[in-house]
Amino acid sequence: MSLKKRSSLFCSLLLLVALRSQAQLASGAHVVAVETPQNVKVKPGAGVEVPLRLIIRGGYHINSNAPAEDYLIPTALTWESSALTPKGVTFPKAESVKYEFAEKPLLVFSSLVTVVARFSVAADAARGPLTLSGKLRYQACTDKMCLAPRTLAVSVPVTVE
Amino acid sequence: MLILLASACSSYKPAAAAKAGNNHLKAAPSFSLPDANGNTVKLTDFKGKVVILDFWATWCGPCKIEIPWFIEFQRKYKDQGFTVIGVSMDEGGWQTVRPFVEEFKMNYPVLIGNDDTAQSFGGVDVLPTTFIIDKQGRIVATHMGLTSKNEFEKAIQSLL
Repeated sequence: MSLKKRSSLFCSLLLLVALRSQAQLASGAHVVAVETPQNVKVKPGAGVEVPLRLIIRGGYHINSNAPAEDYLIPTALTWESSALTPKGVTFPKAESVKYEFAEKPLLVFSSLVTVVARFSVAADAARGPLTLSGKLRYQACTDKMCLAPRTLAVSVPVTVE
Repeated sequence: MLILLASACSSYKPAAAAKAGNNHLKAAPSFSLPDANGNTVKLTDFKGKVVILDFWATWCGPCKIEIPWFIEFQRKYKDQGFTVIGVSMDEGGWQTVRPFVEEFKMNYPVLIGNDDTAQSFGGVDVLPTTFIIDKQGRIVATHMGLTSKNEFEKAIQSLL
């Protein structure tokens, strides 16, 4: 096979791979991954902070927890009831970014951000392992397009000791 | 990435694809969706017209760039057999969409979409997604994401 033909075949394959990646995205892939701690230990009657790292795909941003415009869907983290009582979520300071599609800068998260969820544990809480189950709702865009709002399940193993 | 690849690969010729015949075009799926007055609107109601079918949402910033263009196209080409149809994918329905339609003075039919309609068009996860439909009801082009005003207008003019 000539060098030209091989080069052409290689380029075609690369294009196919790139197109397939786009199609996969359009079929509902998440552009945010959540990294959770795997060794959270807490004592009855105490409080605990659980840091969650949101890894946002390059080129995308998600709205902050308090977007600059009413029409934007905020990022939100909620928890199912468990032996640990949710005491709030601290989001990092949002980036202020001016996009062509908005009149004023928007408050967004991109790349890597850490969100801290706080919990308290009842003094009479049963000792042992449990799982915190939560949902991260976000809505992502690039400067040219947006994805539908998505909800990502978050699971954090905790030991009450 | 695609642009970089296309630039690097001399065998990639989008212009050649654009010149291909129309025999391969797929018919746009039919749908029935409610408008602001509760009336059911079907795509087939616009048979014989060139249609820009725009899937959008109020929370979609890039959609807001295109909507004023579509308002202008509707005004300019409506009497020549053309219409824009906006399909909102807002979960809040008319309660969310109506104030937006009024604020932007949208002069073309706006409908509330649903997952079934989106799926029938191959799944619409990216907004805006815009289909250009010819007078025979066939999908001539699909644009995912913000597209240039000039590209839309050239397509309309060539199909009318």
